[in-house]
Amino acid sequence: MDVFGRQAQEEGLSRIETDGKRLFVHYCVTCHGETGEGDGQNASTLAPAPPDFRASLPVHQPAYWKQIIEAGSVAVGRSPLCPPWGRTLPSDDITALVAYLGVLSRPAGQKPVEPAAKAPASP
Amino acid sequence: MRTPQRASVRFHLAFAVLGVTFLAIFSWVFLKEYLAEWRTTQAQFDQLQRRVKDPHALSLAAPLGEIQQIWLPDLNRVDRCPTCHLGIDDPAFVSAPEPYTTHPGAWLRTHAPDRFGCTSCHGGQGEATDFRNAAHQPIPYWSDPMRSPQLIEANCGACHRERRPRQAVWLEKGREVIANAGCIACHDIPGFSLEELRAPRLESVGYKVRPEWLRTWLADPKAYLAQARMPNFRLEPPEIDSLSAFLLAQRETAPLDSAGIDWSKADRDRGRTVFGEARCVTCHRLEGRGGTMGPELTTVGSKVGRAWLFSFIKDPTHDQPGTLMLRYRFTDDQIRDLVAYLTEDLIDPGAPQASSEVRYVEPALIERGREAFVRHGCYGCHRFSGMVDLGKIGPSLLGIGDRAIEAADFRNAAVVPSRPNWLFLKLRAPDTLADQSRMPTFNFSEPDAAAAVVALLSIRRADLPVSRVTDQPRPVRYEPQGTFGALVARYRCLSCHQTRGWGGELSTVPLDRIGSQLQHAYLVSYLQLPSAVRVSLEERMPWFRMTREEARTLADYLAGVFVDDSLERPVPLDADAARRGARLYQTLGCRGCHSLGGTGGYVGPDLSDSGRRLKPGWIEAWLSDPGRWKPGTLQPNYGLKPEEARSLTAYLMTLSTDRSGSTP
Ligand code: HEC
Repeated sequence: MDVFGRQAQEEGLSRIETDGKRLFVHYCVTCHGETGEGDGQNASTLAPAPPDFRASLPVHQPAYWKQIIEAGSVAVGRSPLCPPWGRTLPSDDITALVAYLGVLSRPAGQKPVEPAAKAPASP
Repeated sequence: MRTPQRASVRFHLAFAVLGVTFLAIFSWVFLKEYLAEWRTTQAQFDQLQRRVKDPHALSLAAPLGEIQQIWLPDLNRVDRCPTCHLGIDDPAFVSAPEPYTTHPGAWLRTHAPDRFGCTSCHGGQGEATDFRNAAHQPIPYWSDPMRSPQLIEANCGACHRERRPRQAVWLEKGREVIANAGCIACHDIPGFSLEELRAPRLESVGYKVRPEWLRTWLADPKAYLAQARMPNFRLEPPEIDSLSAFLLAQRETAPLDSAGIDWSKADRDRGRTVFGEARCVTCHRLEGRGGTMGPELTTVGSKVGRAWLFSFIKDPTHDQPGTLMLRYRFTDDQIRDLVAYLTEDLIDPGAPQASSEVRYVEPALIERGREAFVRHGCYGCHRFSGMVDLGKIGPSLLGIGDRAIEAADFRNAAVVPSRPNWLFLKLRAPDTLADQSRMPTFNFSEPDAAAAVVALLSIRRADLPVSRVTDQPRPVRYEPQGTFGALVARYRCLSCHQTRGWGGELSTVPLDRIGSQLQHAYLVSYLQLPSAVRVSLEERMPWFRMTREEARTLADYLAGVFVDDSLERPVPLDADAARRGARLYQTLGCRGCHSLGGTGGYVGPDLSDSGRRLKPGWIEAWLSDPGRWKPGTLQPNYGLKPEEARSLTAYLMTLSTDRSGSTP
């Protein structure tokens, strides 16, 4: 057994995807949700609501995703509710986010498994 | 005459043999050199680059046919990796196969190969010019094989000593695990300090805890509380007996007097209300919800005694001078109700019952307990007067990243004997390794242990030249004096807030320039009765019940000293600008994150009261470049023109929930 070899398999993400995941968790999950299904804590306040990435992302090319991340959803003629990050995040971070969106756009079965979050202790 | 002749024949023969031998050796050397792996590799690259590049670019390409090396005298490294990794810094080779492919990411932009080499980050044997000896994969007796992607951040950490290195997630997490687990109590670890420890003092613990709880806790802290920070010392029952006896005999400072309290008047429901209003859950968990700065309270009634709890809430510093807990301005009746709620409602029905019999405790048992306390190094975390100079019980971890590992250390033959694996087992399951130690069991999760291994591997023996090391100065303790200082100490502002990099991390708002951000009148009322500005946060400012006098003193000082002159500038606030700002607020989609009058998002603060809360200079500066004021903020830079930032500011300054102002 090589503990670290096994670890790598379980995460199943490349380095750039791992980077992207870290950024996504920090900047995007409040709206898009942990798995990009559009069920973030803030999602219910948004109209239009953030879409389920598994269905919506494959419709467009990564270049389109990138444009939204950089210049906001308003830049592709949609609502202004997805904020623009192009002046805030360095281009490498944007590239990493696009890579991670690639992971989130896959159907559920093909996603790397996350260890299930611990259920809060019931009273 | 025969002898000399024969001698000369022998002489010639010897020369001939020697000559042939030399010829053989030389041709073998030349052949080996000529057929060296790297020449084949370079020849293949030559064909590849002819396909990839145009003739002009080709003429500029580096000459092939020789070994390429990077020599870094200050790091004592010679890296010949570029001999084969020929396309590494040339974007034309992104899709080329190994070893010619371009280096992924932007790493070479920040770590130019001629300044950092290759092995500084990747490990491996830099002098080698063939695949095997470069230790791309683990090879016997080479203790520094190339780092796998899971471990490479250990090498980042050798130079990047700051606690939170950018873009090294595992390293950062590992350092956090090490800090939280309190490893520093028993080991010297470069980059960590004893100041970070927080465990209660135990000189008066005999007044505090219930004997039955103490036994359960000592046997396995996680059995009482899954998130317990104290590790399991694998104590045997006799040790638990003696340690309990020793601890229960510690009665240095008696609790504050609660003899005059009429407990029959205690009202648990009122106590629960006080608990809610005071926002205790900001720091304490209750039934799975709440902060983790203080101990979990779900079954606190089965843990501590009533008299002690009364005293602790009345003045937490009475027996815990360094506590993070603040001193609320409660009345004795409020404390009584609160204590009744905590000790009677928050209990574990399955906890062992208190035995009523009073038993005589032998002094010898207490003495054995003291010995066990010292033997297990309990004093490392629980500072104990009279046990100051005992030193750390574990070895220093300086150089742990270079520790020699032998296969013999692994009793479990199924594990590949490598340094990372050894460290991993040491953390996860210390009793599976041959060198049984006193190290307690922490029950780290696998990811936590793996991250800690990365952080440990970054602690190397040989020190690097200072010019190579990046670090962040450790914050200096900040203890304001005078009336302001006394209030800051009483309400423990710095348990949650930071200033000058010193303080807790619970609050998202550092205090450094708070006087230039918030209006004085708002500060005074907020300190007296903090309303929730960020709806979605569970961590809220507690209701201290401080007096108006105190709130004024704090606000005056903050407004006079915690300021940034660059923010104290007038912003013209005319009605036209405000109208333009209102339109911008809609078109930019601010409502996605901020609420106004009950509608909108709750990622950022509610803006309904901006006009009474915020200072215009601050709003304008923040909108113009949020990341400058708060790196990593969720508010992106919208690239506003100065005029736009001013219009938005003018608009926000019209917003107020006060009836005399305009409500959106
Ligand atoms: C304030 C909430 C919010 C945040 C934060 C946010 N988004 Fe969005 N995002 C939205 C909304 C709402 C939409 C849908 C917009 C529309 O359809 O008009 C959206 C749409 C998108 C889309 C288009 C999806 C599709 O397939 O059509 C992408 C891609 C996207 N967001 C990426 C991101 C990334 C990456 C981040 C983090 C850096 C992020 N968003 C942060 C709210 C948010």
